[in-house]
Amino acid sequence: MRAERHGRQRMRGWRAQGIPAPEQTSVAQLVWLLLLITVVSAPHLRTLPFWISAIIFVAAIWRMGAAFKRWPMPGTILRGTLTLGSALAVGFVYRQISGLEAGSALLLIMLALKLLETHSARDRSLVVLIAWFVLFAAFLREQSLGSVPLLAAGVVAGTVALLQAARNNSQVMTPLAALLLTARLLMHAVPLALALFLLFPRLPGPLWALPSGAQNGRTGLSSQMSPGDITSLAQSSEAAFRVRFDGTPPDRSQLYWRGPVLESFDGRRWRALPDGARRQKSGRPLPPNPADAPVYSYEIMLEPHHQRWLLPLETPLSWDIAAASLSPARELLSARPVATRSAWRGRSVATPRFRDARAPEQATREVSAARNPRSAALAAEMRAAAGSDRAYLRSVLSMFRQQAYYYTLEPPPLGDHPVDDFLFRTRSGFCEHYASAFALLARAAGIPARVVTGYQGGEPNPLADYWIVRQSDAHAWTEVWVDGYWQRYDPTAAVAPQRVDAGMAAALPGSVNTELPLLGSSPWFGRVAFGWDALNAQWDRWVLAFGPDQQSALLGRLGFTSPSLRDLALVCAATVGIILLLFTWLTLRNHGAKPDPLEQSWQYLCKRLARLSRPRKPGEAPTEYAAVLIAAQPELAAPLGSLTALYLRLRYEGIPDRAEVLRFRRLVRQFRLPPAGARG
Amino acid sequence: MQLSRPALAALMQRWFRRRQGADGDSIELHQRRIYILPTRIGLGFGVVLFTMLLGALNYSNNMGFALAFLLTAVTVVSIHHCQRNLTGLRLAIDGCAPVFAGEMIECSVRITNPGRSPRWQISAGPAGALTPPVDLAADGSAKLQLCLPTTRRGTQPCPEIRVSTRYPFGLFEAWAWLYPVRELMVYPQPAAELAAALPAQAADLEHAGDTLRGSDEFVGLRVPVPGESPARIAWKALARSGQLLAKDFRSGAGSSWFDWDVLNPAGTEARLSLLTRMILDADADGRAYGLRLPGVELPPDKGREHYHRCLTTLAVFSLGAAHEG
Repeated sequence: MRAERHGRQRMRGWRAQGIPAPEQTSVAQLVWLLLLITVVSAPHLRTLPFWISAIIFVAAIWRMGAAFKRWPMPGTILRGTLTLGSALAVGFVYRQISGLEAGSALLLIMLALKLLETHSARDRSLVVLIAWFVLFAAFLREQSLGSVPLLAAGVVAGTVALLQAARNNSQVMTPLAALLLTARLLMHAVPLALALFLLFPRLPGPLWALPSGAQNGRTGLSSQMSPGDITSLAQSSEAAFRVRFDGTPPDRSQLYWRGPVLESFDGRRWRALPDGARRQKSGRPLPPNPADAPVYSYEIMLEPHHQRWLLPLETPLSWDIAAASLSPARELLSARPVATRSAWRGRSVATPRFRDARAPEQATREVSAARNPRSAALAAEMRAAAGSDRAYLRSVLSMFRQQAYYYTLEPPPLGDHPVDDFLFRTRSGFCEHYASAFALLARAAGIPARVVTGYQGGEPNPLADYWIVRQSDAHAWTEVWVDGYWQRYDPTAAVAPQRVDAGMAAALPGSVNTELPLLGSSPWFGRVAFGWDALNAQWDRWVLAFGPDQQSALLGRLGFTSPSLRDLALVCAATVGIILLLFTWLTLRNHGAKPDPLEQSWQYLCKRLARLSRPRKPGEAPTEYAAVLIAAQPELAAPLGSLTALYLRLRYEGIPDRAEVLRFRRLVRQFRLPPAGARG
Repeated sequence: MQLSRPALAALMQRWFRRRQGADGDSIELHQRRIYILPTRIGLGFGVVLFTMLLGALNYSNNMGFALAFLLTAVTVVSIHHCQRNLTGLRLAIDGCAPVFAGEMIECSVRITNPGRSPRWQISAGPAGALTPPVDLAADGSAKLQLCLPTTRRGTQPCPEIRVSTRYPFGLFEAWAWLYPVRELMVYPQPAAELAAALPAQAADLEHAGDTLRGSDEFVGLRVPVPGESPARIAWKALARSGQLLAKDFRSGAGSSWFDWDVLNPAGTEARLSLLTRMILDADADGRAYGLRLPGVELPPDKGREHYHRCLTTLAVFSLGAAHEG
């Protein structure tokens, strides 16, 4: 019944004549799709498992074979099986299918399998849409300056592929025509895109919790430290942040960038003290600026590390982020984890000690009795020998300096009493070993002490006015409570003074230097690398750090005193509207039919004649109109009669000769209306 | 839902029609009669863009924003290009010659591009039954062929014609409706064969014989009827083949009358079909013929004009109206 009704519905209207050709994908269309897939999958292949690249490769080969050699394409059942199987494999490998890595893997597999099902225009377009989403996923992992060419290539290849995909397989455009059209469309689109980028209201925080995948594989400091943690960071030349000083920067050895402060120690692992375990609940007013210590102001551009530490220069005086606060342990913390590149300005006094009116936490005195007994005994012995706390601490440092202690990136493994093992057996370690041992020795002698982690030093970019601080600059040092001050002691500096003066690469034996992908290993390569980093820093500063604050500043310049989200939305809508109107006007201006010069001249003549008696009625024949005018103004008979005759001849006797049309135009221009007095 | 969609489409159609009015055979497409909506893949793309935007907002990912906004802008620009692709085109409807019921009415839409920029991928016909798209150079023109199946004789209004394009990306479809004022003519379906259609009406054939078989012009041989005049027996043919045949003569000078009443017992449609067949045959033979229907009488004549007039009369004939008249 329904079928019959449906059938009659279809009978009502016109139909295309003939039988439509079966839909297929031509080679030209396919080539663009493959190019697009190559572009968008390239950034993923480095991080994804090998078998995903293999699937994409096999799918591409198979599809090409189907196009050129008429290989059979996989049927529905095979495709369904492959889809299900790949989804299961991804779930098995990643233990989830929603994270960023797993999501990218799934998208790439979908892309490969959809490629094997490209018959109609819709299939082809769908491949382009999936490919663009894959490109988007790539930006979630990496958005340095190097991803700009990727964006350009992805958008251009995708646009051409979509243009070709939407066409009939027998009517694909030539590559040149398609590229020209794409260039035109993109040229039209860029102003609009720019307006949206600048003015579309951004939000200060995430809409929902970030999937864990976003932080996978990231290196950086953490709120706990056990032997080997910072050593692993030292292998990474990734930038942690960049910093620009106003005026002369401090000496390199004064550059201590303060990160998490670890106050609790169980004999093996240092941890930050949870807020619940504290007596003091909030930061105190800052210490007065010591008269002799200089104050530095600087701007820090942080790479996202998904933690709250802002890493100020020790010791911070002020900062321009309203929501940031100083923790009881004097860590400068932002209100929420730093999930994007963000910049902040601060002022610090570069001094190794600061006063604190509060007594140290109990935790900074605790020594685990069960572990490291030999260290505790050594501390008691040395403290008894020294006259004061300060003298004792000095003697510990000189012990590190004078005895056979080594600074190395490859410390031997430690046993159940890690500090004992380090002090008495292995005697070689990285900064965390020395900091840990020093703090323990201080505590065992009854002096409150804690471990501070962060970064030390940095590398000035010779081509630009900033310093790069890398993960390999990660450092751990100690703070000891002496005479009502927290005093910085850096035992690593006692063992390897070059570490603080010149950086880790200088402090370590040459063999390690080549393993580290640090810059500066060859002068030429170094310059290129620094230049690239300088460009990237500009990119980060001006493009990637663009967010709600910069939008507010932009609107501020336009005259909005305290722009709300609504103001922003209004400005955005207005700008987009104006751009669209302009664009419509510009493109429609030259779009209509070519004006006919003959017709233009005739209309011009009619307009002038209209003043004599009356306008020409629509549809009134030229001869009739001329007759009416001549009846009213007999002296017009000769000029008007010949003009009308010429017009009719040109209009209706074949295609008019160009010279004749120009003559008509000249005659119309020369035609003079009779003087006003002569008018009846 | 299934039922409401055609209903909705019909409602929209009525609205478009009321808004635009009827068209002559040649029109120019103005901006205000071009409609545009996303296609299914266009809607899918909208979902993809929205997801990208949400993702970029959530991760505050500026490259993500850049991609999402660039693609959004290209899409918005493509809406404009899609609509512009139809604007200003001149359409002329051609053909639509009458056909016999059951055949296809063929119609062609001539599209002319008077503009200075080329136009791309223009089709005619409803979604799902589009003509292969054509590209038009500046000042170029092309012809798109449409056809309409017919079932019943009579006149029918020319259905609306849809001209559409999905240029450039296939994400949006712009289309325009044409409502030609002309009426389409469908002649009755001709009976398959005269002799086969009439075997049961022998008695009437006696009567019809006077009309059908005049004695002027030899048209062929047939099986003789009982009591056939010896003058009509084809003796030469008998000598040659040994079979008894009669010569058949018909009135030659155009005095055949095709009479409704002769075919009395058959139903109205059957009789119209028979008459159509007679006219077709007579026209093919180049004979003159007249048509006599209740209330209508067309005197014998020849030629295309007469042929079409007769068939049109048959197409629109209605017994009730004739009796009343």
